[in-house]
Amino acid sequence: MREEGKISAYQAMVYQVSIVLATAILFVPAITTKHAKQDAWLSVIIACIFGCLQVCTAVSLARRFPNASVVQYAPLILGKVPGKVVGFVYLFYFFYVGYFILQEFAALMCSSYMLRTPSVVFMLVLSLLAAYAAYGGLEVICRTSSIVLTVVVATLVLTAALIVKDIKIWRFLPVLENGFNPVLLGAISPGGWFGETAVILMLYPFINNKEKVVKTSFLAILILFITMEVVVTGAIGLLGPTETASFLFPTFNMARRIKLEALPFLERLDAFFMMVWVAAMLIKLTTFFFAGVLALSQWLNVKDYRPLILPSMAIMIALAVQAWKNITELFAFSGEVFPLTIIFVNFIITGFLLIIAGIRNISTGNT
Amino acid sequence: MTITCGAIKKEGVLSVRKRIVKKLHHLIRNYACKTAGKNICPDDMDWVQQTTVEKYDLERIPIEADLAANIKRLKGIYGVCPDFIIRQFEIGGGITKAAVIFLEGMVERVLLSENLLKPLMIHYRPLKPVQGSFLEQILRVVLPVDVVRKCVNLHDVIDHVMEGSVVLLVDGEPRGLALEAAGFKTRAPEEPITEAVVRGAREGFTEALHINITLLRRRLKTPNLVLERMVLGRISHTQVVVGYVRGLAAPELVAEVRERLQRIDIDGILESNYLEEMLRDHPLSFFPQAITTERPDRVAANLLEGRVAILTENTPHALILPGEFVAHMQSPEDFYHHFVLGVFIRLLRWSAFAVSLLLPSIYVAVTTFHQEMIPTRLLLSIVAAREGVPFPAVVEALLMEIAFEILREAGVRLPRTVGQAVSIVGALVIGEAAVMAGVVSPLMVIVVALTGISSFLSPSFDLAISIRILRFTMMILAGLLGLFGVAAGVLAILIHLAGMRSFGVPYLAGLTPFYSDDWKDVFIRAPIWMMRRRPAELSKSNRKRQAPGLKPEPPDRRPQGGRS
Repeated sequence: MREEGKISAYQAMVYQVSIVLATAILFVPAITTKHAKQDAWLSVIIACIFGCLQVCTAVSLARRFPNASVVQYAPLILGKVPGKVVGFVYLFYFFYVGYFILQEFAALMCSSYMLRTPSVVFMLVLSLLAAYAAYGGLEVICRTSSIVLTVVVATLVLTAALIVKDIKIWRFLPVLENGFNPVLLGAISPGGWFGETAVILMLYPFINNKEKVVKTSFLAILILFITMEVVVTGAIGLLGPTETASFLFPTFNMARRIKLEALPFLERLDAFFMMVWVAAMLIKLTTFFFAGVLALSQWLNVKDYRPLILPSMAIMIALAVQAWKNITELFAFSGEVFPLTIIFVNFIITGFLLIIAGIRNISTGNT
Repeated sequence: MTITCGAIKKEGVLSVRKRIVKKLHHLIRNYACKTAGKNICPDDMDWVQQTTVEKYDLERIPIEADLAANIKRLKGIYGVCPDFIIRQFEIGGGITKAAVIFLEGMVERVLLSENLLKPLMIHYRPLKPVQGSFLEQILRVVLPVDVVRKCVNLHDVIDHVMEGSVVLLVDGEPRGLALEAAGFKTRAPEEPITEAVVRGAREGFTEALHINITLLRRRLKTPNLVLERMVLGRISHTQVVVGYVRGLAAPELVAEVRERLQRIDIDGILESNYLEEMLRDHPLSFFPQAITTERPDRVAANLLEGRVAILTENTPHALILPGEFVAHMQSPEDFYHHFVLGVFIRLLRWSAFAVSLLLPSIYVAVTTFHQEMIPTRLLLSIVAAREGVPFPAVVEALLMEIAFEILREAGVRLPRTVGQAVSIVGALVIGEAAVMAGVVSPLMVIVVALTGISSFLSPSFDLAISIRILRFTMMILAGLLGLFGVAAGVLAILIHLAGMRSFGVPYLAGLTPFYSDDWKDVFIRAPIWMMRRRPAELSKSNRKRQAPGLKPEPPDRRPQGGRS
């Protein structure tokens, strides 16, 4: 297993956080606020609890098979053909989110920053970088993402610090205006994002201190919870729930609203925010793409995943180009269809596998 | 069935490969035999005119008891070289014939005449017959020379003569003595020009290996400072010394360095960069993978961290391995001043690193693509300044950067006497006149100047080189895709760096994976009493550097042993 290398549980945590963060901070405020209005911050808490549940499921499944990934042991649990089908669902899920991210990224770049550049350019640049990182292997991805993540979190903290003076508490009132149902509805989509941390199913065999995984997975959820909460409360407190819901990317508008009389050059920093976000998006794409290619190689029983990188990259770009007609469609999709599909994979299928494995009492390691 | 088929096929491939390797070995051996079998007649040295003299040829020619025959052979090999001197004389006024062989300019002449010729020619008294050969006796009784080595064949003789020894051959003895008397002119250790410090040792390495070793020994006075000597270069026979502290440097690291050095088979090694390029993990990467330094204190500090140093003869530049990224951002002087200054300088250095890589490209990206980022008043002045400039910002930036590189390169090569004139002309023409003529905007001149100055803050010239080259790529990316291009470029560099290793140590060690102890020496420089551990990736077994609780305090506040 030279090419995949070994990582520590903390590096796996970085992987788990990176796989969620970039799109979550961008989309969660608008999507959640649309349903939950000023109570969106409550939705995030519920989503976090749901996320914990999902990560619990994933980790307990992973611990049953410490030396294999879910694609490899699904046939053990369900039998050959159904197992392969489930394995395919997992690997398709990774590519599916991958090209969703690509399209999301290109849509944002085209709509906000570089209006006249064709979106394929952004997809191509980002996916080539992701392919380069994937060639490097798991260790390289983890090292890159730990640096990028530090920068992203620092930027978020800085942004929050710069807007905190403009946050108005009355924008969060009244609490639970329309009862609890909108809050639950708003929790679905961030809950789905939290569930992406189930990627631990693919990483588990490469972790060298497996006993810490439970702890670090929950730590990952916690970090994500805090960042999402910062973004959601920041957006609502600064822009108000109606405005937040009407923007496509409220987080960017938040960065745009930074206003300092004394330091005028710190205003309109959203282009720098974009740079940081590009980095975050890259690691998000890379983590999904790597998990996908790795799953594909395991599904096909290929020894090395590297020859699969460029072909699957090409397919991913093609899918990304044709899948959504425009940004509104994409946005509607990401709010309504997307969370359910990823919850289906990360929670329902994973839980299903866990239950079957439990009933049939299959495991290859000491749980 | 298929599995067995595959296995057989695999076996087949393997055996074919094995056969090819065997064949190659056979060919090589045959070739060696052929050259070894060339007609070497020791008495007729004409063959040396036709072919190069190889080590294995000489090793097959023993030293004869007949002095005249030996001298004839040596003269045959060295021909008419004017610095090759054979001084023939008689020991003790006619007891026996002898000769000393040395290279003029390589030996200390006073030492030769006082300690060698005088005792043998003038003060020599016949010895009591005791056991042992005549040579051994004069070695034991007559010659007051400290380091003496035995020679048995011509290769030994020539090898020692080349190193600056004097070889004594005595008639009737089938052996010779190599007496160390090396004394060639060397530069005295002086302050290295490229690594000057305000506070700290003013000694730098010189071209002489033994002086460099002494400089190092004086800093680490322990028997655990191991120095391993190697001779590399078929023709240059350059001495290379691998130094490390036993117990600190990981044995695998030392073994790896040794192995990679032994692999090198090249005609000459003239500078340590020859070794560095041969030792790199990633030969095509821009980034330096070994620290080069002229400062013995820097080498000593790095040996204490568990690294390995390579000193090369004839160059003052030592190599330190592994040279990961963070190590290139550290200067020995960070530790010679108050730590607050160290912290400040470190932060400044990292920002200067970012500036020298990114400033021109960010300028290009912002002025071309993201004008909304610039505060309105500044934007107005930029627009006013750029009004007459006929080029897009990226062309302007590239032009100015290239002009700056030309000036800089010229500054290195210029004869000192015309340096000032050229720099004045360069500065005036590039700065003032170009702006006046409207070829570039004044802001661009500021950007280029700031970038150029920032790149000199890097304590490692090698790192500055890679940044210099990458800067141009970044500018082109910025011109194509704006800040997105800059971000993509930075990420590509980051992925590249994350994928590199230098002698088993990840290139980004210190930055990631995160070790809180290591971070005391990355972006800041913690007080010395806080740096309790060695870098995690380097010294895996022996990480403790100092006793705990060394933070100094006035006596009345000490937790124990206080006077109150």
